[in-house]
Amino acid sequence: MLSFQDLILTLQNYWAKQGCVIQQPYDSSMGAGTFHPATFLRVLDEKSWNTAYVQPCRRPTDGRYGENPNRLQHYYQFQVILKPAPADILDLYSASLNEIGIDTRAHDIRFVEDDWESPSLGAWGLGWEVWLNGMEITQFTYFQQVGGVELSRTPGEITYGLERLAMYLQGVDNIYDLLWVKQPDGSSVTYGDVFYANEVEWSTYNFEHADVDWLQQQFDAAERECLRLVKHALSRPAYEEIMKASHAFNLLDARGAISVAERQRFIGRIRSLTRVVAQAYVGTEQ
Amino acid sequence: MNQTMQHKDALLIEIGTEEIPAGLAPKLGEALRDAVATLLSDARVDVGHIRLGVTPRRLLLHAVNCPLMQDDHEQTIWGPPERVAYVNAEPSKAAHGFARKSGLPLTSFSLADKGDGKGRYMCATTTQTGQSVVDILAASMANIIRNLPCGKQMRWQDGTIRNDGFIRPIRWIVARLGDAVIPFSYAGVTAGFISRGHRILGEPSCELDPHHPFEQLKLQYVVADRDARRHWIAEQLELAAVRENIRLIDDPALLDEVTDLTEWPQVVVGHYDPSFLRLPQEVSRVELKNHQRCFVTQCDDGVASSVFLAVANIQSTQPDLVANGNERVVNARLADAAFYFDRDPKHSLEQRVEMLNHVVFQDGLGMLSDQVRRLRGFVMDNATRFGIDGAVAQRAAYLCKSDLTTGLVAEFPELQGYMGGIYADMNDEPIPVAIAIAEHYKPIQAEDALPISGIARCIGVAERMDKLLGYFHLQRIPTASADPFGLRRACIGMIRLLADEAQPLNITLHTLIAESRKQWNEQRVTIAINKQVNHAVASFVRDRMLAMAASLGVSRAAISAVLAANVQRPIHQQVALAKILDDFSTSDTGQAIAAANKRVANILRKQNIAASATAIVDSGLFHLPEEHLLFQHLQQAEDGFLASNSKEQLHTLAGLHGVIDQFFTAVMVMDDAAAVRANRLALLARLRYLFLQLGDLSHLSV
Repeated sequence: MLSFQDLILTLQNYWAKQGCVIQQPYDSSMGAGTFHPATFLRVLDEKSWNTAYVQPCRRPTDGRYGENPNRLQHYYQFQVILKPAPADILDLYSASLNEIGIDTRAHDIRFVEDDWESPSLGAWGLGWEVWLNGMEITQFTYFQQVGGVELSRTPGEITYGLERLAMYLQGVDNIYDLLWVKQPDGSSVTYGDVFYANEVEWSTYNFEHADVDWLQQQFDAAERECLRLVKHALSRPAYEEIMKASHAFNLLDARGAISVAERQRFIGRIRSLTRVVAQAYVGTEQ
Repeated sequence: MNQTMQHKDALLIEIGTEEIPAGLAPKLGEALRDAVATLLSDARVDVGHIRLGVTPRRLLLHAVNCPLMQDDHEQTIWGPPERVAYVNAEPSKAAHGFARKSGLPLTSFSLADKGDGKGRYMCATTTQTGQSVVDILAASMANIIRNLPCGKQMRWQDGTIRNDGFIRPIRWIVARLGDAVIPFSYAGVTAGFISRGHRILGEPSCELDPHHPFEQLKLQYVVADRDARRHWIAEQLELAAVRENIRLIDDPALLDEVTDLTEWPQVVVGHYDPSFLRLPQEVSRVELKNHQRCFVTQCDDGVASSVFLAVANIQSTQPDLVANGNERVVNARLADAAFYFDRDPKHSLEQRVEMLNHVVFQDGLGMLSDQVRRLRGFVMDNATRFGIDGAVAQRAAYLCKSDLTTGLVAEFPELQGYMGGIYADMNDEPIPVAIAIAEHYKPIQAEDALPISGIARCIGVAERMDKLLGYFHLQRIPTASADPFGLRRACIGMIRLLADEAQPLNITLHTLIAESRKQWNEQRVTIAINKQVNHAVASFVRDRMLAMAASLGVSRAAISAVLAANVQRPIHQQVALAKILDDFSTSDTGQAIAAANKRVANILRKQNIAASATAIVDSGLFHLPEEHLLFQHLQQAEDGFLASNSKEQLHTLAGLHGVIDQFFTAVMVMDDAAAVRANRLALLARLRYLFLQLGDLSHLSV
């Protein structure tokens, strides 16, 4: 049986063979692999860029104190960016499924329209959710715009939902029962062994203890810092501040501290930052 | 001269793409076929029938007998008339000039009659040699593709050809006429002979036989003919139903969607966990349809069955895998629904109404609980007018939004209303209350049936007008391209409810706005919905009525005439009257009376005099018998006019057209004597007023 970590390693090896730069997770909290600078910043310039990496994602509102078999506030995405997207990108993707043990001649793979838009990243693209026998396992997007910048070299983004794929491959109904790795003595380390306590504590923190005032200050501070750094043409450090602001916003959301009206304002503030930083990055990279 | 014997061959065009969104592919295919057909017919190429194939991955055009060459074309060029072209029987300067401009020697020209009765003109006949059809297509195909109605176009190709977009990346193009390639490229893809089969089952490259592409694609696991594919799915569904001894719930929209998601559709039978049969059927149906594109079934006695049918895009080497995979997802989905369905009743509906105090209706317009109070007030105030039971209606209005706080509706918003009805029933609310709650959102789509419950209709009208006033107050007014709050749809639904003659709602638009506005004003001092909003909403509703005239079964002109009436009528009466006007306007009397009305209206407009019921006419100032006659008939017509029905009114007006005609024949309205003139205009103002009670007949075509 393909363990959870084998799944990651297999995908990494496969995409490494396609010439992707295998990156490691970024060391800052983010809601999706798209936020990683290897995606957000690197798609903006004119250079070719192929990369693949696993990225832990934090979605505080999705926390369920470890009680829901399908939902986590911290989970993994496997992200691939091919810029420019080659003409056979969908075939490359299909082949990756065969690589992890999904025989495409036996399973029903379908591409169902799902256009993507991220108001806070000032980004949109067109693509599909990929269905495996009716289950969504991947998001596929051709980026058209990021950070308000029209992309001249269209990148293809492939985002695998790792836990879901692994659950399917292992025939497991509960995330926490996923096999992470087999020990030499034959015993198993499960996803629950690694992350159950993590989910309980973080859910408790996200929903109950995260300090609203402090988060609010963090958001404001990150915004200020970002704008200050942009003036020094430091688009990469400036961009990291956006990730911090964005995560603070997600936590405030989980704390129920954001009204409907405020939500739009927060998203608008993040969007303005992403525009400014994207412009700055493009300015220095051209 | 036309070539009588012409060579023909098969025309084949295929645009191969990555998966096109369901629903768009058929439209794009038809647009492509129309564009190519128009191009060829404009070029006088008789291509005959073009067969269309549409799948998620290809748009295919095939014509069996397409001419290889365009017909030669004879053209007559007309120049100046004889008297200009010849001076003293010699060609004039003008004749020389025209010949030079036409690029023909003067000797090619002769004189001929154009048939306009103005004598002969200088003319010449030229023959344009037909172009090759390959050239014609090659020159235009890229533009045709570029102009297909994609909605959101995307760019995918690298480099400089950035103008070429499409809905999804184009990966191959086949374009041939017989054995000749139609040379063009689009978005960096060059047309050739090579197509591709089914993504998994077919060959990655195959040359398509131009004479039998549909048959050949079948060998590549592609049923390109959309109707055939749809039919094949329907057959497989039926067969599976028979085999499983269950009844399929028909769903044409879903059938369309799965047709557009597959090239080689295979129906797969799945069974979900029977414990989920306790869910209301609509919950499982919506869940399986909207999220999984699966069909649900019933047993013969109408009870839900746990058998569902999925449509895969593969003939699997291990079909059980596909079925099991779908079952897993469906079970997880239904487990979600069941979790909420079991938990929701822990709060009573009364408690849920309380919760609406914390749910925002719209930023700037207060809470949902405020809206509920307005709806309740509205049905209370208007129960008698609508002939509904006030107590029941009030209860239904009070509870109609309670399901919005349930987990199930939060998760599956499309179940709003339906779940309210179910939960009301479980709470032992009276059946009419539950039905009214369940139905009050109807109609949602234009083709949806109207509610059966009169109370649901009343709440539905109240809610939609409430919404219009609120959003117009916030200046969130729909534009031509954007209607983010669904106001247009709300308005169309409201008009359909108000126009229905089967269950007439006797309220005029004017009163409806006033009644709805009263609820707003009583409740929120901060929101003074002003006159301007009234006016804007009224004209928005009228515009929608005009736009949807055809679907109301009347002409736009008739609606427009009726809306100009100076008498307020309920919308269902306006529509009925428009129908009468439509029938009437095609008759001879109808034409005559419309013409007479137009004449009256024109004179008054020029003199800037408004129609008036009270204009004073002094018969002492009449000079001619025709004036007396018209006045006498007018007074008779006015008598009891309001009390009679529209048909009778129209009949009365029709009866006037003789005396009106006589009046205009004999009487010069604009008499030199001011008093006489004013008196005649007053007579016409009275007459015009009478006409306007039905509507402005001058809007009808005369």
